[in-house]
Amino acid sequence: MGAEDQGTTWWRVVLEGPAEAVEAMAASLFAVGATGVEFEDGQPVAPPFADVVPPPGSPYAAAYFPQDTAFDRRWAALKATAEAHGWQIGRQAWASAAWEEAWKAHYHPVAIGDGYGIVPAWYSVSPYAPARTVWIDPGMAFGTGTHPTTLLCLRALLREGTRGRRVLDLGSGSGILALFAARLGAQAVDAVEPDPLAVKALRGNIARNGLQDRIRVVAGELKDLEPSWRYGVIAANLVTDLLLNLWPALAGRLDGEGAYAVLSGVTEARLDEVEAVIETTGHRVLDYRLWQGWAALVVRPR
Amino acid sequence: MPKKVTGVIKLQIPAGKATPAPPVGPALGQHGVNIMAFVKEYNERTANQVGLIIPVEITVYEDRSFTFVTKTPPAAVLIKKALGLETASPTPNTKKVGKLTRAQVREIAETKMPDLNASSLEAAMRMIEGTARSMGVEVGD
Repeated sequence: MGAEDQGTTWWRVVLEGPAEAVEAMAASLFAVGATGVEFEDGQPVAPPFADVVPPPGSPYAAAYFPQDTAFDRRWAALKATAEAHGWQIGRQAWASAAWEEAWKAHYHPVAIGDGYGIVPAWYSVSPYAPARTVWIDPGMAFGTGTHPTTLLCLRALLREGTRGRRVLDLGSGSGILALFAARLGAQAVDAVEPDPLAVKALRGNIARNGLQDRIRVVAGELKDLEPSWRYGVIAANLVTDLLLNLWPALAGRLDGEGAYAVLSGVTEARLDEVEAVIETTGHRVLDYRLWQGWAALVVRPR
Repeated sequence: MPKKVTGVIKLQIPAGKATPAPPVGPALGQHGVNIMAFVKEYNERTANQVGLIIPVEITVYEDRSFTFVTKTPPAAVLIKKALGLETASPTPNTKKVGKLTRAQVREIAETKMPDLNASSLEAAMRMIEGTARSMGVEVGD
């Protein structure tokens, strides 16, 4: 949105009716000059990696029109169409805002501990020392440091340390765990991420922190790693089902004196299941932390 | 990643031409997600479909990360394209603006099939016919 749009106020026009009419509602909004339509067609969605998905709401189609001289004509046409179809029509005043920037208000620096912290990339100054700052631009990727599972993982890495070790970060997202592991002194980090969007954010964040020489990006999954690669530290912030499936393969990658894995993204209710799988490979849970229904586990060979 | 969905946003926007202006800005902004990241990615992914309206389904997770999938163009858009219509009928019951052949209905149903909750092509065709009628478009040979 350009500067000329600042101060524009809008009418949000909403049409409501049966689910099968939503496409026709959207079409009638486009017919009077809408540049886009927001809608709910009552169809359930099945997004990837989701544990809990809210049910669809009631059907509608809505569009925004500037409050200008052309609006009366648009409103009259839409009202006639709505009446002809038996749809409900309504409108609501909407003030313009700096939409592109508004989301940034949700992000703030996050302290990990020992003077380390995560700082949004658009901050000009970090409250932490340069060598203890992880700069993150989340893009669309998971891993902003604000989620309990991420913070639990970061703190487990801080407690157990990564100095001089080879580290695997499985399901890297924005790269937050890989970057932090490198800041803690890891010798080398493999950041594994299958989602191409997240890989973009990941590469950007590695460059932003100047850690290209220490972190290698693997655009893929656990099975895409060379069979011979072994790690002293493994961080996996995934979902419970994925951890249950991957653990045996993951456990085989742990190697060397004092090697450990941090498993996060486990829901408290399924902690027993995860512990049982860990026992099958001769490993055990040394310590776990719970926060807001999530658990992070530190696992070592028995 | 542990992912709890906090919001699902459904939009129809012109391929390759999304901007942070409404409806994208207000719809995404209220969920606290990175609007420019979405706009850039959507425009890139739909660049080869410019001229069509493409529905998109955006899923927002608990930590404000998000993902999206694009769908096939709305049936109404495909019907207008097939008939070369500018707009639908303002009074579909009384004023008819065009007529689709059964073959055209079948073709549109085949395009839309991946996104329709239809058990068979015949069921999908009935859905397309329903949309056509609500636009003041007749169906028949």
